[in-house]
Amino acid sequence: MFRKTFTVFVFVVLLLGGLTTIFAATPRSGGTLKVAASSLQSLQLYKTAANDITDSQSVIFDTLFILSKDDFKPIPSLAEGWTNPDPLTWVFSIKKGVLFHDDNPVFPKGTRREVTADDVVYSIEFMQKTSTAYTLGPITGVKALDRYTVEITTKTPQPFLVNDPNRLCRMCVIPKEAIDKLGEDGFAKYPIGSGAYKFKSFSPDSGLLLVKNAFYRLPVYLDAVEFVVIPDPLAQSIALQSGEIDVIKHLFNLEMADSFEKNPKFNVVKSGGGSYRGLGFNTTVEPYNNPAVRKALSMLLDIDTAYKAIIGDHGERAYGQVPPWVPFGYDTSLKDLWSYDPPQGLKILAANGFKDQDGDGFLDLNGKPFKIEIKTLAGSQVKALTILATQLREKGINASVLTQDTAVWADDLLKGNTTVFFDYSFAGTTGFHSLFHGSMIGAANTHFYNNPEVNKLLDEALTKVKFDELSSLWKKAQRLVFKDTVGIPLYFEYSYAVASKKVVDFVPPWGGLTLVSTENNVWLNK
Amino acid sequence: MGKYLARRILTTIPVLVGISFIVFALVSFAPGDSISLMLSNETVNVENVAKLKAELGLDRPWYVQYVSYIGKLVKGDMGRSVQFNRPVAEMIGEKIGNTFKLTIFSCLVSLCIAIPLGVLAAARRRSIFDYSATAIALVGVSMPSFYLGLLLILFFGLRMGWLPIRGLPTYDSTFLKQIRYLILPSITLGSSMAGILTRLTRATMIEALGQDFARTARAKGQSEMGVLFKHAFPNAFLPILTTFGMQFGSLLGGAVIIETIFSLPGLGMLAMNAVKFRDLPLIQGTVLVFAICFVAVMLIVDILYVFIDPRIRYD
Repeated sequence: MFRKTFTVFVFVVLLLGGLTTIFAATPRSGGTLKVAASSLQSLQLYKTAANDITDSQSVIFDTLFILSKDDFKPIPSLAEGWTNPDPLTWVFSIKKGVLFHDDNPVFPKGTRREVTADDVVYSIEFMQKTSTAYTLGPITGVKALDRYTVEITTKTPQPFLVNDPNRLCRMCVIPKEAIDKLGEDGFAKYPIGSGAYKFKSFSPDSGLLLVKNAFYRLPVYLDAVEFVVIPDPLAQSIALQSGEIDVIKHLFNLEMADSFEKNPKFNVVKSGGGSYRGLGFNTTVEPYNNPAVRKALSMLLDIDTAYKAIIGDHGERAYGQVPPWVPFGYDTSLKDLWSYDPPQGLKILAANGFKDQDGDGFLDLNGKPFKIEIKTLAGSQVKALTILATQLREKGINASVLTQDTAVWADDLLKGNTTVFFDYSFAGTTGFHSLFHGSMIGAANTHFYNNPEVNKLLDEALTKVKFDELSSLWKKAQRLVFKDTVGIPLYFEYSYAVASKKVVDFVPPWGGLTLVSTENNVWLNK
Repeated sequence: MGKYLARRILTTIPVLVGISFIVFALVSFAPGDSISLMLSNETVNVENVAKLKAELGLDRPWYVQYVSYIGKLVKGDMGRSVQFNRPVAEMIGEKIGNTFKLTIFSCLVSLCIAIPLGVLAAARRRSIFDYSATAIALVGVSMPSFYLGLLLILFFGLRMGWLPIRGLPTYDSTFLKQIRYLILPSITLGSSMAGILTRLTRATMIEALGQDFARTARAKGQSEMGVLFKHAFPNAFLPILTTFGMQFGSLLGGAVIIETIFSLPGLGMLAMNAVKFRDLPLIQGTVLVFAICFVAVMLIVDILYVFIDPRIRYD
C-alpha cells in the first residue's frame, strides 16, 4: 500500500515538475517592461549617438538588418537578404507585407501602409542629409529597383556598411509622408515606424512609453515598453532592486555586477561586446615622440596584476586594440610585443637621457624633472591607471593620474594638450582605424600618429569586402602600430546588463536594442 | 508702489544682461566644448561636425556669438540646444513646472517645520524641546543634501518600500500621486532651509518676546498663544521673510543636485546636462531663468513687506 502511494506521489511530483518547466519555458503575453535610461531628451533621428536614444528608436523603427547577438554579424530584419553583385553594389530585397504603425497623426487608425523600397531609399537619403552623429560612408546612389528591392552603390568598397553598429544598422526606415506632414521636429515628438512597438507618449528626460504593434511580423509578447529616465547609475541600481524598473541595459559599475550576481532575484547578462582600455601617447611631444622611450615605459608596467586587481573576471588582457568580439583583426600573436621587464626598461630609459640628477628618487630627463600625468575621465579604469602609476613611481618615474571632466579631457586630447592619456574605449569595427589612421588626426586619432605604411594598409583594408582579406591587412597594421608602441593595450572590459528574474530572453544592446527578433523575443514571466 | 515696481523691473534688465554676459564669457573660456565632445565620438567625422558648427554659428568668435545671442533674445528666441537640436525655450518650458513644484513643496516643508519649531523653542526657552529643536535645526543645516537624499532613498524607498525613489511619475499622474513622489525630494531640498529658518525664528521670536509690547499684552491678560502668534510673531516675521527670499535662491541651486539624485526632470537636471555637454545656449537659457526666478522672488518679498509691516511705504 505504502509503495503504491509513494509511486503515485512520485508520479504526480514529476508531472507537476514537468508541467511547470513547460509553462515556464512558454512565453506569456502581457506586462510592461521598464527599462532604465540615463538620458532621453529628444527622439530626433541621427542628431546624437547617445545609446538611450538609439536604443529606443531601434524598438520603434525597423532597420534592414540587426547584428546577431552571438557574433555581431548582420542578420536580416526588414530585409529578406542582400547580395553584392560587385564590391561597389549592394542589393537589398525587403520583406513584403510589413506595415507602418497606425493610430497616429499621419496614418489614422486602421490605415496601415506597406513599407516599400521607396521608403528605404527615402530613409537612407534622409539619414545622409540630416545626420550629424553617424556616417554611411561614400554612397554614390540609392534607388528602388522595384517595389521591394533597393540598390545602394558606393564610391569605394564598403566592408563596414553592414557590419559596423553605427552605419546602415542605425538607419531607421521612416515614412516620407510623416516628415512632410510633421516636419523633423514634429516627427521627433511623434515617431512613426514599423517596429515591434509603437509610440504612445514621451516626456523629455522623464520617460518614453511604447505599446505593442499588434501587426508586427513576429509575435510580440510585451504589452508595452517603458523607458524610465534615471540619470544616476547608483539610483538605477536602487530602482532595479526596489522594482521600479526591470532592466539596466548597461551596468556602469562592474562592482555592482558581482553584487547582482549573488542576488537570486536578478540575472546578470553578459554582452558579447565591451570596451577597450589602454594607455595612449601623444607622439608629437618629447620624449614620447621617441618610440624607444614609449617601449621602455611599457616594460615597467605589470599590466596583468593591475587589471586583474580591479576587474577580476570581468575582462581579459589586451595585446592589441581590436577586441575578440570584432569579427576581424583580433590578433593574439601580438602578445610577443609586450613584456614586463623593468631592468631592461630602465636601461633603455638611461640610454635615452633619463637619470636621477637631483636625488629625489625620481628620474630626470636631461637634467630637468620628468613627470607623467595620465589624463583620464572618470570610470572603472581610474583604479587600474592608479595602480599602473604607482608601479611607475616604484620604478623611479614620477607618475600620477589626473581624472578630468569628460569635456575637458576630450578637449585636451583633441588639442594635443597631453602626454600620456587613457585611450578611447572605441571597441567597435572601425575603432582601430579611428584611433590610428592619419586622416583621423583632428578627431579620434589623439595620438597624432601618422604612419604612411599604416595608413596604406588601412586604406587597402577598407577596399576589401571579404573579412579574411580585411583581417589580414588589419592585423598587419595593428602590429606596426604597437611595434611603435603608440599606445599600450591594457585590457578589454566586458559589458553587462542586469535584469529582474522575471524578464526572459533579454539581450544587451549592440547596434540598438533588440526586444523582438528571430534571435530573441523578450517576455515577462509573472 | 507702481513707480517702485516699474523701477525695480527696469533695474533687473542690466542685472540679467550682466549675468548672461558673465555666463557666456565663462563658458566660452572654459576648457572643453560640445564640438570636442562630438569629435571624441568614434562614429562622428570631421566633416559632419564642421557642418554642425557652421549651422549653429559656433565657428564665429565668442563676442560675435554673444551679440547675436542677445539680438535673438530680445526677440524672444533663446536659440537651439547644441546637443539636442531643439529650441531652448521649449526645453525650459517643459521642465520649469517640475522645478517650481519641487521648490514650492520644499518651501512648504521647510516652513511647516521651521515656524512651529522655532516659535515653540523660543516660547519654551532652555527646555528639552528647545534643545531638541536646536539639534534638529543643526542637523538640517549641516547634513549635505545629496547625502540626506541617498539615505532617504535607501530607507524609505528600498528598505521600507513606502515611497517612490524617483521625483515624479512619468504617466497617469494625478495630483495626489505627484505629491507622493515629491515627498522625499522636498524633504531633502527643504531640510537645510528648515534648519536655517528654525534657528532664525527662534532668535527673532526670543527678541520679540522680550519687547515692551509683548509684556504689555501679557499684562493686559492676553493668552500665551495670543502673545506668541498675535503680537510677537508678526514682528519677528520680517527678517524670516527676508531670509526665506534669499534662501529661495539656494533652493533653486540645490534643485540641480536633488533633481539629478531623484531623477526629477526639472530645470536643475537640464542645467546639469547642459554644463556636462558645454551646451552654451542651454546653459545660458537655464541660468537666465534661474536668475529671473530669483529676482522675481526678491521683488515679491519686497512687496510683501508692505502688507506685513504697515510702517513700510515705497512711495
